[in-house]
Amino acid sequence: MIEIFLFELQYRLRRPVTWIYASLGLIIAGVWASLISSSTAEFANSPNNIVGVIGPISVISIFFYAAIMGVPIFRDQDHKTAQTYFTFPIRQKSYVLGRFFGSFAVVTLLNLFIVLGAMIGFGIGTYLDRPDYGVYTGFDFSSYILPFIFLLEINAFLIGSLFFCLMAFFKKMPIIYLGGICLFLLYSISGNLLSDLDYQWLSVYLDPFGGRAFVYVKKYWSINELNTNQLPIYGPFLMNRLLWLGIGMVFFLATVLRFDYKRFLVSGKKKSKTNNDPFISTGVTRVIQDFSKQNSRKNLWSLSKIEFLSIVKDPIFLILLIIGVLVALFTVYKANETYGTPNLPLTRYVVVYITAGLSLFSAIILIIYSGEAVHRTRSNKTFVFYDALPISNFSLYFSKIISLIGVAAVLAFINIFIGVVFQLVSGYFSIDIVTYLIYNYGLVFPGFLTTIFLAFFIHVLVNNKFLGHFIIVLLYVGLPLLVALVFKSTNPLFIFGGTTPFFLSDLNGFGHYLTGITWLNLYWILFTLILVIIGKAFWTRGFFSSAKERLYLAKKRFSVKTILSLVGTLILFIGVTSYSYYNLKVLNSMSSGDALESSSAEKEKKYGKYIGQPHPQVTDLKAYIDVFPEDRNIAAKGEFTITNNYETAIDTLMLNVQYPSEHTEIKKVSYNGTVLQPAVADSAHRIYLYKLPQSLQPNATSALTIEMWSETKGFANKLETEVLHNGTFINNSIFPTFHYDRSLVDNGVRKKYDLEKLDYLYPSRSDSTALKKNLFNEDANFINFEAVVSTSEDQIALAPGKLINNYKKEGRSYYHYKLESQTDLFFNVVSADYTVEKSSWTAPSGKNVTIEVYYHPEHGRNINHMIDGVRVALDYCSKNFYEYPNSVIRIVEFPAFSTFAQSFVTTIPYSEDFGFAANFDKAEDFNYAFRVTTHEVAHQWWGHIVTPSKTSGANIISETLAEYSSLMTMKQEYGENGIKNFLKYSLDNYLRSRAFSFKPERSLLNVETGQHIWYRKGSMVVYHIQDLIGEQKMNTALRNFLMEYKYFEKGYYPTSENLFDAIYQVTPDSLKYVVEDGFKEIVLYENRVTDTKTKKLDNGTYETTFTVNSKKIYYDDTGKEKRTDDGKNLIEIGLFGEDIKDQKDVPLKNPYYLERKWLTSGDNTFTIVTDQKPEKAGIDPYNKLIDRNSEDNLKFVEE
Amino acid sequence: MLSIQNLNKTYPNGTQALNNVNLTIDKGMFGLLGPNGAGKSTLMRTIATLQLADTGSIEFDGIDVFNQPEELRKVLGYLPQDFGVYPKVTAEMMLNHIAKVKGIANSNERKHYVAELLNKVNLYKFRNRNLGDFSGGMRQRFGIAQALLGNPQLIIVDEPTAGLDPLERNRFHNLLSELGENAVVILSTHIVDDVTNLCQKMAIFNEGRILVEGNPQELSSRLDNKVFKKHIQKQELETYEQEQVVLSNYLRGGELYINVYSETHPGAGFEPVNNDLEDFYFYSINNKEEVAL
Repeated sequence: MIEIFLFELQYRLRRPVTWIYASLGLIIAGVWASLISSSTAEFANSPNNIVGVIGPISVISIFFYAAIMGVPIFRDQDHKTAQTYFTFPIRQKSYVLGRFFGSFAVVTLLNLFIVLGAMIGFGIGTYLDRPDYGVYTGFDFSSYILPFIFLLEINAFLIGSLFFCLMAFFKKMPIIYLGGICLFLLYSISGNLLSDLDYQWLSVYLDPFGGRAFVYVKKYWSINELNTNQLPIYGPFLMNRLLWLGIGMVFFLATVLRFDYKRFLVSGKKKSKTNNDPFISTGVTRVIQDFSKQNSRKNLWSLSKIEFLSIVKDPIFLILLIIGVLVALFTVYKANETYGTPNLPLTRYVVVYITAGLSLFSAIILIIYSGEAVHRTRSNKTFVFYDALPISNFSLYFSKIISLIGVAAVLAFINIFIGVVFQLVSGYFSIDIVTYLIYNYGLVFPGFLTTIFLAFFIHVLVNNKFLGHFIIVLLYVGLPLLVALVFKSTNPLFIFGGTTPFFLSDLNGFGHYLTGITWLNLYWILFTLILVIIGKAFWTRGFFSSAKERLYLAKKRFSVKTILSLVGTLILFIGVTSYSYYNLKVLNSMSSGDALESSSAEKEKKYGKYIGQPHPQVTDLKAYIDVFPEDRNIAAKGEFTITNNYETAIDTLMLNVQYPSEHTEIKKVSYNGTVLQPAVADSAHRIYLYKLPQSLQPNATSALTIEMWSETKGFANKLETEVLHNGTFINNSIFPTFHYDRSLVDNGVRKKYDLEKLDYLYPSRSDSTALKKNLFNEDANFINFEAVVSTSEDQIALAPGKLINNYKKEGRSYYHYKLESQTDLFFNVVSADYTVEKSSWTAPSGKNVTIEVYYHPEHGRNINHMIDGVRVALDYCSKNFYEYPNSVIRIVEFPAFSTFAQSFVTTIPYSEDFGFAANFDKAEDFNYAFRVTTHEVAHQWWGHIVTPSKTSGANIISETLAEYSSLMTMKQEYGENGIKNFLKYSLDNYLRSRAFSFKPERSLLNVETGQHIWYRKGSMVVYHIQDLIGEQKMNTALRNFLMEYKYFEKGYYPTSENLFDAIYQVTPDSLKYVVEDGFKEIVLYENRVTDTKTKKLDNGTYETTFTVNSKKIYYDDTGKEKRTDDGKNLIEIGLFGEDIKDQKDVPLKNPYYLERKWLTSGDNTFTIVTDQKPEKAGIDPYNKLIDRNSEDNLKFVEE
Repeated sequence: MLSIQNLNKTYPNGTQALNNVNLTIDKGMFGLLGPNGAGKSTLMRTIATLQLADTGSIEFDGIDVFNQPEELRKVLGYLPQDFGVYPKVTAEMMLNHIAKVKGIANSNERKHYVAELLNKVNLYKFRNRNLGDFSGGMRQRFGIAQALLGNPQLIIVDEPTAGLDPLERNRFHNLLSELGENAVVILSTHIVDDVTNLCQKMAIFNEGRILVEGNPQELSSRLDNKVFKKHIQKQELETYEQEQVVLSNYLRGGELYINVYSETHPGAGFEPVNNDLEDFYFYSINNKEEVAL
């Protein structure tokens, strides 16, 4: 055995390919590690990030492992040494063990190189001065050794023994591929499951590589834990590793114990056919051979057909395809949902998800079979006579390519087929076949072509199957990563297969995006076609003995015809490249992330001195906005009344252009009737300074008119979602702002550009000038707003306010809106071809408010939920806080480039993906159409009536209170049970996002960035306070708060502290700790039930004794534990029967006993008598408190 | 018909596989006789358009093989020494496919022709069997069939009788000699009998060089009266090898004999033998210098 082991080892170490693999492992790990950056307080080389590099590499290494572990036995067969080997006096087991451990030693070497690469990479990172990459910590050996053992080595053993086993029993390379793909499949399924709250625990078992299990374990880790905890060799992660190590052992032992020479040597003899019919001669012994062009063309087709059939009839192909289809169906089934609620199976969803699921397998199939096509006659050694047959190189070469194109066409068709079947089975019949065809044959198929062409070329050139596959994957995955990470470029001309971005929408269809995509697809097809033409010259036919000879042959094969076709393709390619370049880089621009950063830094250095300086503020705006959907252009004229709210005169007007489209210009600026010319026109930074003819004195007002024009040119590498053919959505950024704000907030990046470090992004709450600034736009306080918007005749254009006039002029539709209330300087314009649904709500005062929904004709399904939401929220907020100040409120659908809704005064633009296409049929599913609507309607109060000041933490006034109001409307509509799913989601989201907190994690009172804090933690905290002190008390506090600060009447805006005070005041002393904990601290509970016992009493009741353990821990802003609370906390405890279902079939908890108790830190024991026998006992059973392990809050009662 | 001039080929590892090979071959069977590793296969492959030479040229019936390989392939029938097959394709399907690429366009004609061919190589019974399930001999016969397919003007068969039983071998010999009437047939082999039986012309090839070229009978008779045999003891072999030109040693009924070459009678115990081509073959490959006869 030792002998075979040593032989294997020596053989391997002398083979250059071993060292190629090792150095590739080193380089990949090194480059990757050196590019790891951290924008949070996590160290760039934290143990977590080291695992983040090594873990995925151990997945990629499946290729290396296959190449090393899969071949040794195969080699003996392939080289026909097996027969001789097995005649030597070697015991079977020694043979297998020797080979196995020899190979495994080599794999270990590779793994060591990977770890070494990671060490070097992170080492390089430490010594480079790159503040924008985050902070590095010292070298810790165990951070490397643990992933080496528990990820790399165990994975190598698992994969190695699997491959070794498959090879020993099946003797077929493709079976090895299949084994690898199955592992990969489990890996991706377990990844999918991670995002599913109910099934994520499964990922612990399903992930063969351990990475997902680690993600599961660390999901609620704080940044401090990510920085200090090593790979958790305990709990679920250890379980996963042991499980898969065990599975590896099973494969290993199966091979060792069951391996059999004889079976290995005897190639599976099937029943051989013999035809015993006698031969009857037809006398055809002389034939005419016809080598005409026509005939050879026919031969090309016939050859292509043979190649095509030999691919699609291959069982491996079918298996891959079936797995792909299953994955696609799984993907569309799992992914076609939002917040856990299923979406309707719209064609635009199904086509995207099916393709997403199948695309990986399509790529695998195309790459594998490109390799097979190239190597088929070589690996079966048919080439030694086949290559001497009178088939032209052209036919030989292109028949293979044509067959692969055929396979690609079939794959694209399968995409469509299973999509349609899925829709039909789901009972959905509005199948949009045109979308299917365009998507699959216009977008997906070209990608298949480039994949085939590239893979084919590489295989021809490399002439080694494994290395070929590896290089293709490297080019396919590595190159885009390199371009994105090192060059920070998004240029699709440099990213293999890259095209301009697009999104699918029901409103806007494929929009204007197909143009750019088609050009770029053409670019890549021509590019790879050039490779294919070059590859033809390098096609190996017969034998060649040296690279020189191959080159000589290649030179010779460049016939006039080849050169002409090459030159022709090249000319086309240059043409397409030039045109694409012209569109992307000349007509439009494309800047790398670095260039944008450096430009922002420069802008700050130049204009930072204007921060906080006096500037005009708007009191009135009448906007004239003309949308041109066909050309995607827009013209805007704003008639502003401006004033000076500062104590010094203003003599300069700054116009800071904000509108995203780069072809935006200020057409005209006039001040009190005088046309102004810019004194400074800095178009690079989009800042224009104008000298005012008369300075604007404090409290004086002036008339300012600004005319803007923005257009689109050609195609750009941007979505350009502002003006679309159907579904324009722009906001107040169409006009420039009058001040400058800094845009770089990451201190690492700031340091890189020598900008001062910012501890806080916003001024402190004690900054009196900041209190006079509105968080959303410091160019105005509250303004009077009026807008005349126009659009093409078939569309409806909307802006905030009541419609006061509507007319058509010169083939265009005009709409005139005037706002009844005042608004912050924050408005939107939306235009599309809409269907309108109207309803109404009557205020307690008797005022009638019109509710309008503007939607795509096919999206009427859920608008009743939205209208309900509007009505309930208007009612709740008007009754509890302040009457809704306007007479109209609208929900307006916009295309699906993003999934959000946003509240402008009277108008709520709402993404078509955010409820319009959801299926809320199941009552237990979360009805986010209702909830999002109530949240946005609540912003009419929290944000638009009370507007936060521009200070740290103030945004909670807008977001946390909108979230609170929304939860209260939900409680009113669905009962307490209806929000429990939502609270579960909030809790998970908050805990999970803490690790990504922009450095460091702030308390609610100080939060500046982080939706998970102001939405998720905020809603949990305020809901809990309300739960304890009572909804009425809470609402009284909020009403008082609103009345105090509404409409800037007080002359300054509220801070988070003001909100805190409002709530704190109404809270009884005993519960004030809850308000303090929630707003001012980072508090996590660790509550669990430790012990339960029940017994039946003589009177038929049950006496249950149970112990709950409670612990409340305070953390600092890096996630370090500060202290454990030793006081008492009021926490719910309870006893429950089996879950019951309400009339809509939604499961409900069934409390027999539920009380709040003051619990001390540590164990608390209760004895409770109930009439019925309890099934579970619980502490904080509804998960109202922030607790990282909410599962152990309930425990089954023992008897 | 086939003219090979100044062909040289050195492999990157330094092996000189072809060393200034010059040959002119006319219609008929031509035997290329040489030991294993002599470079025969390299030469065959080179003629069969599968490999390049470093220098030199090959011309067949006006076709420059290096520059017009596609033309040569149209008239070529090639049976390599060691070849593979598509394991899941039947003999009939594969031959049909090859017939198609060899320009037999009419499908009905092709079908009958392939059947005839299968019958000719005695595979008709196994026409529907997958090539992967063929025995070595059957596979070899399949190889022969594909080489004979069409109207090849140049037939190159590299070690064709390896793995054939005597019956099949004879059958094959008959087939070949039939073809030799209309085409150039090059038979590369290390079996002297094959050449003796079939060829009018032959060359002896060793270490990449043509040692001698001519008619088998004529070549063989060059050693007439110069070959003697003797029964010796095993331990004497070394001595004889030093003292005499030992062409071969062989066993007859368990007794060791040597054949030696000598201008004159080599002495006691030696008796003249009825020399054959084999003796000449051994003579020429032992005699590494030019065969000056």
